[in-house]
Amino acid sequence: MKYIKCGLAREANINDEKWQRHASNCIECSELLKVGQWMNSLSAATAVPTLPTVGFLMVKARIRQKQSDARNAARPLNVTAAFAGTILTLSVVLLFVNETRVSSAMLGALGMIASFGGILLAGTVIAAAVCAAAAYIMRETGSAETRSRL
Amino acid sequence: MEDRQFEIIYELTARPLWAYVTRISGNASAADDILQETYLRFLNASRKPYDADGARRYLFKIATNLVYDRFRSMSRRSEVEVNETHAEVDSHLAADLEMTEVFAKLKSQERTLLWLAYVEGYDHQQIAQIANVNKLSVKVLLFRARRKLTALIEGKKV
Repeated sequence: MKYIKCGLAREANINDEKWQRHASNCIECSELLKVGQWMNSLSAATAVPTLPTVGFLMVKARIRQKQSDARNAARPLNVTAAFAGTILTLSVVLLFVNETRVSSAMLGALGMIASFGGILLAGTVIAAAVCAAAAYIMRETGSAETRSRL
Repeated sequence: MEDRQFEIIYELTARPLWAYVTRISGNASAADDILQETYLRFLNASRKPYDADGARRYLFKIATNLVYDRFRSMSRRSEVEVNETHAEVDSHLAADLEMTEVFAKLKSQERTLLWLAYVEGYDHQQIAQIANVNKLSVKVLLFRARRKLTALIEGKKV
């Protein structure tokens, strides 16, 4: 396969009259000109239908951005919930593994919860407060970014 | 991005972008969806060019990626079905059916390169960026695509 070697052959030249005259005597450039003109005819023959309005696209983009912000805001809560769920499951499993009898395991677990009740309650309250603050900050940051973008 | 700024960009790019997507995907109804998705991604992109030329290239890049993603996600069976409906869909759009059929015989990458080079007038470096092709490969790929199209125009068997 031979590549075009004519130094004047460039895709951007196809509308240049001087080059078009050159192309009529140059085999390599005539191919370029032929394809270029054919492509322009194809482009001109493409009838574009009615397209969506700018307003419609902007509203849709805003809705999508809000959904994305909401997902981002809920992320810390989801992570905390998943973490808490994992810890709980692991605790229950460990208790049942260590205890041979289910009743004693349940009693042990209840005793443990009762002895650490204050700490657990305080931890839950602190975690909930941190999650709520994080969600609020992310929501506000997201809204501000959205406003500045659109 | 301000509303007015986006409006100007949309006015300048929507029609050529739709024509581009329709021709490289070979499917007018898919082009509607891809066009809409392209602008939504553009609006929600955190880092996007604000000048008209940069925005235009960025939009063409998004659209090209979306078309290729669509091709990739198609199963073999559904791809055949889509190809069979091309001529029917395009017959309502193109003034010259023969041109449409000839262009559809090229590969999607060949259509992309030819359109970007001859209709949009982009140079090799810009084409490489938009079509995700190595800059050094563009010249060769474009040459092959041009040779193939010339043969098809002249009615030779490719």
